[in-house]
Amino acid sequence: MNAALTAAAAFVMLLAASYCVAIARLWIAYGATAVRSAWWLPYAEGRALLRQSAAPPSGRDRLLFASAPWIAIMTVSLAALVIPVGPALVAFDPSIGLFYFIVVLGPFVVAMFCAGWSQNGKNGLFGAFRAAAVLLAYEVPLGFAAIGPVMDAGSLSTVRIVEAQSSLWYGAWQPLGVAIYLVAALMMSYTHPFDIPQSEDELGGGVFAEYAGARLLIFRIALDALFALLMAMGVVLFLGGGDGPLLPAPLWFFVKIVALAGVTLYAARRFPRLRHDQMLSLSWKILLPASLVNVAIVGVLILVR
Amino acid sequence: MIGNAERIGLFGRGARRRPTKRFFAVDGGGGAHIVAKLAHLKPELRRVASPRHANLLLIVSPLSPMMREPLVEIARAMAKPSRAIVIDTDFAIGQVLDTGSLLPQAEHVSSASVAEILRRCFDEAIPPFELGVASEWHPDSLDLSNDSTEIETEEVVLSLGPSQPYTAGPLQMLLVCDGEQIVRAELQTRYAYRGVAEAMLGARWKEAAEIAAALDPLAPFAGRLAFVRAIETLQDKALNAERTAWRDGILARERARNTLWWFVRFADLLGLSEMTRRAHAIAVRLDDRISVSPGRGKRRPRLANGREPDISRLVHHVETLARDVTHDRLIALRCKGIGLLGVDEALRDGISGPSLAASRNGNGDVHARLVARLAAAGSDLRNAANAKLDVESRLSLDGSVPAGSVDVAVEGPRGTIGLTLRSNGGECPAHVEWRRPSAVLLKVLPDVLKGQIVADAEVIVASFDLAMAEADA
Repeated sequence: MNAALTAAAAFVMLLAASYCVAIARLWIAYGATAVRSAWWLPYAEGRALLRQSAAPPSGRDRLLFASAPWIAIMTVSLAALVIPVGPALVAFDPSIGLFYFIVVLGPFVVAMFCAGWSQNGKNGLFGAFRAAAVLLAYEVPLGFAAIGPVMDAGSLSTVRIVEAQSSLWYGAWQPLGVAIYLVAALMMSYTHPFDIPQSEDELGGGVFAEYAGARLLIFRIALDALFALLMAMGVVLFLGGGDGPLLPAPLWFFVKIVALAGVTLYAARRFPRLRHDQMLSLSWKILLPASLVNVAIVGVLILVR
Repeated sequence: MIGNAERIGLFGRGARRRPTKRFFAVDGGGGAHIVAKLAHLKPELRRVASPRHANLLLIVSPLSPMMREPLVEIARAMAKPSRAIVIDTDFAIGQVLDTGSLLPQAEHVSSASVAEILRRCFDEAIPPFELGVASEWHPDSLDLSNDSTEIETEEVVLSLGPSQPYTAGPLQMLLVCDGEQIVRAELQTRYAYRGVAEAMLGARWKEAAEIAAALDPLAPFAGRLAFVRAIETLQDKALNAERTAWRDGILARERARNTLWWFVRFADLLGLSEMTRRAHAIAVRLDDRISVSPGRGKRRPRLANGREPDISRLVHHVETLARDVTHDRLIALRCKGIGLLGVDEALRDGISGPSLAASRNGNGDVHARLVARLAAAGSDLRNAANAKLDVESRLSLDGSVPAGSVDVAVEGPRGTIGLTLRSNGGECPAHVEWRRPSAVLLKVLPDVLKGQIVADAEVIVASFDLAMAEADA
């Protein structure tokens, strides 16, 4: 029962963080003009989408088209179970928590692919293949970036990783790992500048081109929640989880997620939208070698210490 | 779960007082600036790329009759309930689609007041539209014969448009793709056809001048000036230096304004939110300071406060923006080496303006065109700032037009607009032939796109700043 309540709390926190991510996106896109309205705009947009209905595309694959948004949101919800919101506040703490997190998030790309494939339209199809190409770009650097904290903590358990940072956050002495992780997280969550599968202008919405109403809303929530979740794992891996003075651990954890998300989105705003081949080049030519160097540096530092 | 939030009472009255609109724009050719302006004015009003994501359909008239079926298809694809607003510009010249018969519930509003358009966008009293006609549109496609027995990848035809954000006005691109690589490109340009030159033949001289201003609704002064200059040449009329300088100043300002709004759209395509905001702010300030004449060039552009604006500060902002864009390595990473147009090719096809300058002074890729346009905008705005624009002058026609034939050229935002005009000494022009820079660029576009990848196609097309109304093909 305790685990169920903790899971529910983690899920609510995830939704709150994804709402904050949506606000941050508006602030970054519109600047000062959105300072006031951004607070309620995600809610109003959600409401407007819920009120709408649209004739689904003819010739679609009914099962895949209808299930894709649910696969996306379920994937994010399941992965959130291993996030330790505070000391002893984790719904599920397997010894392979980090591995579980990366593996369970894998089907998100399946949701994206199903969404694009099932529309019976070429725009969606191109978006689907781009989503699959992005998978090749982020998966390896993300895993290697996360190895640094695991090497020092000596465990894949997310709770153990947080506990191992009680004296010093890993982000303080693994800055390269943080940078690689954040870039890979942007790719994994299809966030600008790596949002080419959605290709808002070029392919009329890409994988989401034929989605409308509640299904589109679920997809948007899932995308924001995925980004928030990856930031949460970033906090676990590099910023000491809920560790902090005065405030309760869950509140610290929430503040850190929002701050990390805000900084990441703000830094990403200067980049133009990259093509998938540029993403792959970035991943295989820069991020992968850099992550191997990071692993070597961390190994040496652990030995020296 | 879809469309029943009202029924299940999920939300309270608070959100109802704060509506949010996502609009899909159908631009007939004269609305690129208005749409770009609206898209970044308020976060509550956002442009979306798919009609299924929109709850507001913005139609910027006039539309060619060729746009009837695509418009029906777009309206049919939109989620329900959705509202429609038709923004009426002053360029209903030639063959024009009657949008009222298709969407009787659509609200009409003048393009002159952006504030009024904004108010109407959020007006919940406007009834949702019901489409009275069925869609019979069969989008153009290409036949791909695959007679090879070898194992090979299958080519697909990707149809983009006709309503898309890369050009000012409708253009349909049919891209034959091998994976993401474009093997062949074909363009369907007829969706913007209004027959401006033909309309001028049946009009009296003064009416023809009004029609000339509608050639490129985004640059009405250039079209009208070309026509007036042609008639003045036929009349052998000499202009004093002051009037010539006034014309050059207004023309330069029109070019700069066009470039700024083009850059807003271009930066938005690249996802450069900060650059988009900066360019939008500068363009809005330029628009706010100058109340541009409503399009037909009857009156000279004048100031909102009746005085000449201090645009020297805007010059500084534009030049800073141009410098930042030129030296931005990230923009260069995305734009360099794609969409190459060689100088020989450009000269052979009669390309002019910033596209030619980019091929001459740079290597003719997207980045070179971007740099060339912004540099030209800075220089144009500086010229406009230095020109005496407060003299009493206007573009008007006086007296009769003697018989003869004349060729004139005016430097418009997209290149040199040429006009061949012949008069028989009668009440109407005997022959009108426009040389339109966008039409020339459209000819080279398939060759430029060939071999590129789909993800670059939008950036390449956008870099040419095509005005489909002006192409009028």
